[in-house]
Amino acid sequence: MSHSRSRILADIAQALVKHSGDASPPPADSPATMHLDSEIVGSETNLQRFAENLAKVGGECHILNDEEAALSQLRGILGECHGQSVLVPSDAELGRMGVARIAFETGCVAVDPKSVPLEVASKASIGITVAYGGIADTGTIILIHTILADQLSALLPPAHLVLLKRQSIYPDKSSLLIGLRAGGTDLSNSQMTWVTGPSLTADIEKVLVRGAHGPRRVIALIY
Amino acid sequence: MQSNPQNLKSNIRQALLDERLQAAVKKATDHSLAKRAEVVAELPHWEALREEAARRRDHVLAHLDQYLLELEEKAQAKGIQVHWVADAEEANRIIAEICTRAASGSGATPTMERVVVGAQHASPLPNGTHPLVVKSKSMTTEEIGLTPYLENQGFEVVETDLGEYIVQIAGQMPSHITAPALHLSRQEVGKIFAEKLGVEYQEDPVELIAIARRILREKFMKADVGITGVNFAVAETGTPLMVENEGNGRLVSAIPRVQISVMGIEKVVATWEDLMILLELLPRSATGQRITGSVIFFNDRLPDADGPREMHLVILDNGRSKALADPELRSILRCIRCGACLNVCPVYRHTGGHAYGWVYPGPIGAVLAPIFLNLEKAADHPFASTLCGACSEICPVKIELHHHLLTLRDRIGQSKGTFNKERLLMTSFEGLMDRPDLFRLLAGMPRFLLHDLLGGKWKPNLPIWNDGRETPEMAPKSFSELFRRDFGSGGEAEK
Repeated sequence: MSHSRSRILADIAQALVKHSGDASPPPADSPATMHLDSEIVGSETNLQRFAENLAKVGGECHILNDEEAALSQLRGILGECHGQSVLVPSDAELGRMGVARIAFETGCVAVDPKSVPLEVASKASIGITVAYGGIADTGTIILIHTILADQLSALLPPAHLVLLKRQSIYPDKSSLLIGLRAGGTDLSNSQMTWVTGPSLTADIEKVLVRGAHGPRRVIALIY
Repeated sequence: MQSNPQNLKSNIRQALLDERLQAAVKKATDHSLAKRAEVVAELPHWEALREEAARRRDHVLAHLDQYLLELEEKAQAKGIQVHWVADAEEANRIIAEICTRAASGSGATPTMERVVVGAQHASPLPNGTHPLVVKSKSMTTEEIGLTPYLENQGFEVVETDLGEYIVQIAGQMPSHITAPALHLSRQEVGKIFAEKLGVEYQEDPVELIAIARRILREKFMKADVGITGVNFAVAETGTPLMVENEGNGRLVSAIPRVQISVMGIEKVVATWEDLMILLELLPRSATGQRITGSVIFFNDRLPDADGPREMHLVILDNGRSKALADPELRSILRCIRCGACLNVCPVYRHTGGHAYGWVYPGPIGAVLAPIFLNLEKAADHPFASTLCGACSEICPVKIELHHHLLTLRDRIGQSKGTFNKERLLMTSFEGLMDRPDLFRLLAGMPRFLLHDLLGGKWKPNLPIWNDGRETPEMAPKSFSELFRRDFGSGGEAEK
């Protein structure tokens, strides 16, 4: 181990000894011990709040009755991208739902980012992924990537279409954390990204511009 | 304006003459404060959140070694390579070494053939290209001067946050912690783009951003290394993370084969529960958002077609343990770099960030400068404040910034030695306050001289004070005379 490691740790230890008397107590009552009301997760009010808050930050949200309705909505959206390429990573859930087939049927070219160079993947008009869940009070989409192709599909194209199950919409951050822990998600190994609306910047005169480096359209289909 | 903290006074004078700069800073900071107020008002328990965050930050600081070791252990367990660096020099050297290995195409065997470490000038690869490093915004890497260091080593270093990209191509420093180009108007950005990028002049922010997106997308695709900052690092799972809005942080951490994330030792938090509280406070305080566009958790990296990819976490001290050892100033390490204290500071709002001549401007910078740089180099910074306390009131982690500024002023005063004009003045004043009759006599002298004797025909010229104001006319009667006249003996209550 490096010289600096031991030096920094020694400096810190010495700094703390100097006034060890004021060491504050460990935090009590961690929210993880709180009970998560399963009624709230996925409730209609929750879905409406999620949709409203996503819309506030410039995202689009469609609440649909079931998977079939969601796929039909997807078909409609892909219909607008006729002749263009669509990123569909090799994900079990997308495979089960036949998303690549729907893309083909609507006249799009389904591309797995894994099998093409980045430059090609970057030219696709839309990327489709499945989300882990959402946070209603901010309209946030929780992505947990297990493969790079999934991470890139949500990021490279100008539009990101994401499929979410209604039971996965949590009211707020704390309840999401309880859900993640209770659901056995390995927080040390999950490649997680929280996405709230299209990428944006206000770096020039604080003028809000949507579509900075990431997608300029984020479309959530909830079913 | 000179990028030197010792030029603070002359920089401030220069900034005060620049009305355009003041208008730009005022517009941007007013905007941020208004947005912040809106989203803070949504949370009735905001004050309780601040209290809780301060308590949890203090707890981690009081056990900092323990939490850093936990972070290291958990991060290493999943393959993140951890580097502890004492100062800027060591940080830059280690980061350059990682970049050199990455650019040589093999992460495994270090080779110095293509890029000569220590070279003073750019050393391109044999094919004439420069190894490419893309960065997402990071104040810590600004603090250590990483970009110029890597450029000297022969790397092409590209800032990808749009504000940061603008100041980079303009050859300037960021002027705000979270809004680096807030001092520039759209016309100025348009001119910078036309001049430096060779594009046609335009001033529509949408168009300007589209140009930057196109240029930078190419850079992301070709980059050898991605460098990010770290907003927090969760010890319990060894998870560094960053918040951003533009998606550049996502691209920097997803595309290049090697990722380096740089954090100060104080960025560690104990648990995800602590993190959830800080994630309520940071975006609201910084940009007036409930949450930023992305929150990215760096738990190692997903392999690409060529196999596993590298992730390095650089943990930097650079003066922080000095602050930790200082009971009066320790709480400055609670800071989560939201920049709200800049927006609300009457000094920053008049001068902008460049006047401070250093990477961290505003009240937080005025406290950090004397600690990180030393008292001599930043002796004027703690005085760049009105001590109004607005910074302490707005701080999401309740740092008593104005108290820290007073503490530092006192130390600077002490360090100037025993004979000090200010000290002599204050001691004399203290003696005077004990003798009401003498006080009244002396306090009445100027009025007697200027009004009664000279009839207001001559006014003294007071150095510094008169630089920005005129000496007012002396009133014919003093306040206590008027008070005694109108309220009788009430005026004598002080006796």
